[in-house]
Amino acid sequence: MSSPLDISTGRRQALKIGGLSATLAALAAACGDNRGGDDAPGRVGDAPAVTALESFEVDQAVLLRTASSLEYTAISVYETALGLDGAIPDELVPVVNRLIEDHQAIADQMVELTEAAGGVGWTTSNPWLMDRLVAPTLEKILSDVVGLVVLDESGGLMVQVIGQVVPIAETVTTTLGEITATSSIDDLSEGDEITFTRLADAVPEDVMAFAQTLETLATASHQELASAASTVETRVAHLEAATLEARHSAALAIAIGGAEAYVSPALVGEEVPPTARFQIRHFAVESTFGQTAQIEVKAGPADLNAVRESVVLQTPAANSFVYNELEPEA
Amino acid sequence: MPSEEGRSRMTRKDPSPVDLEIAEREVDTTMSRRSLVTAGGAAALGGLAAALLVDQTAFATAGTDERPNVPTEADAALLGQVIALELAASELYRAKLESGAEGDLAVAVGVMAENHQAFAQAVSGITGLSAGEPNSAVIDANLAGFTGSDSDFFAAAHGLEQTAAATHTALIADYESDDAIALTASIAITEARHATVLADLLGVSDLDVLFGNTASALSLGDEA
Repeated sequence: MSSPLDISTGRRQALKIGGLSATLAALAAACGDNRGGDDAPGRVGDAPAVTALESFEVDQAVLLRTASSLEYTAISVYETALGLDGAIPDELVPVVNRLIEDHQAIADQMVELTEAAGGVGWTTSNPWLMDRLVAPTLEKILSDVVGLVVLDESGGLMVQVIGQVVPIAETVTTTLGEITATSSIDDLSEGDEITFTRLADAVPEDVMAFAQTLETLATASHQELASAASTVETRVAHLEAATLEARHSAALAIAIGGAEAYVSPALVGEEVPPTARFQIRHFAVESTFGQTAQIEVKAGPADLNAVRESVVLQTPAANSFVYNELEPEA
Repeated sequence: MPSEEGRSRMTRKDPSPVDLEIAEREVDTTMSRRSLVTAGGAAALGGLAAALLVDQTAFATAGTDERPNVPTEADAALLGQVIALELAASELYRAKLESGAEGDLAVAVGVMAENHQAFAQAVSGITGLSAGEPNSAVIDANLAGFTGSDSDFFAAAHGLEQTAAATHTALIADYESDDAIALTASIAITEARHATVLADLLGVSDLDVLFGNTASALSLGDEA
């Protein structure tokens, strides 16, 4: 038996004492009065103040309003694309018109179900998705290619564009195709920027790729909503919408990639390389089970180093729900 | 093996097609000081994990709490028939491979065969039912088409996928459990995608056929 006066302390004992001290200190601090100071979590750096998300109830009406908002968002994208010269290939215009009809029919059904659930039907696009996904993506798609004036080994002016350094001219030839200057190429010096048109058919390719992923997003959203629905009628409606939009997604994948887009090579253990223009390839049958994971697509021109920005689409969550308290913008 | 807290952090946002039941630990009623501190820490971390998962569970807070997670007896009776349907579809695609399919078509047919097999296995997984025999009536009704010319195959396979998707859509109304509903939705979506590929192979240009589904659901409930 050790003496109570034994002052030798082993590592284990030191850890015990240290842990106990820290625990008691935390307890004392928690129970004490007039602690003062900021109650907010500790922060590092000079970041703007965090705005807490308001807590609203998520009921069936909210989920259904969110569902109809997705349909109206898709309609808005298609109508915008149809209004852009050449954004939809001519042969696909009838298909896009049909997609709009289908989305409108689903939206109408979701509005009816919202009202049956005691909510107010939502008959416009999803404001969060429009502000943070659709508008920035369309802006990227419609933006010009940017090149940078650089010096070659002999001190001559060249332009670095889409990962290549080429002679400056009104029309520049890259390995991916020709692009034409949309800004002046006179009186340039090193470090100046030159803007160019996008590669031939790049805009419709991006628009169709974005549309295909939007259909996949809509499919995934209705898949999740089918599981969350509290009534049989709503559950069936969501699954019917999901299967219809899965058909849209598959048809657009085939329209973009042809027979090579039927099934993903990943399903037979092969690599899925991007397209020659660095676009992520999507397929009619991309997985064994319907997926609800995030979906990635490239949008807009490649930068100086031939890197294209990704857009990530995710099924609705707290930020993008159309809460009962939300009203359409006038 | 991941800890309880670790499992919380690994919870997927998307509903898993297969519910992996985790065996509950035996309750240890003896509480030493060390276990008290450990339990307190785990509770705090569990609370943090739950707070971080608020957004991810938002869909589930809207009135489905009282639904059982695992298939009920009534669900299992229907799902047993679904296994037979999916096995029949897989066997038909394998018959097509044996009768002759090459190149990209062989790849697509092989993937569809594997997918239907996976559907049957997933249903078997959530119900605990053994795979059993394929639905012989489905095979008998479709075998000639599947082993005929390519165009016969496209038409028969398109019809089968449409029927399977319609069947799942009808059955989802009858299921009582979360697992049955979530898995059915994920299967029906892929079958709709299969149907679209087959419609393209068939040369369908009518958008009503490409995007629609007029097939009738199989009456699996009658046998269940």
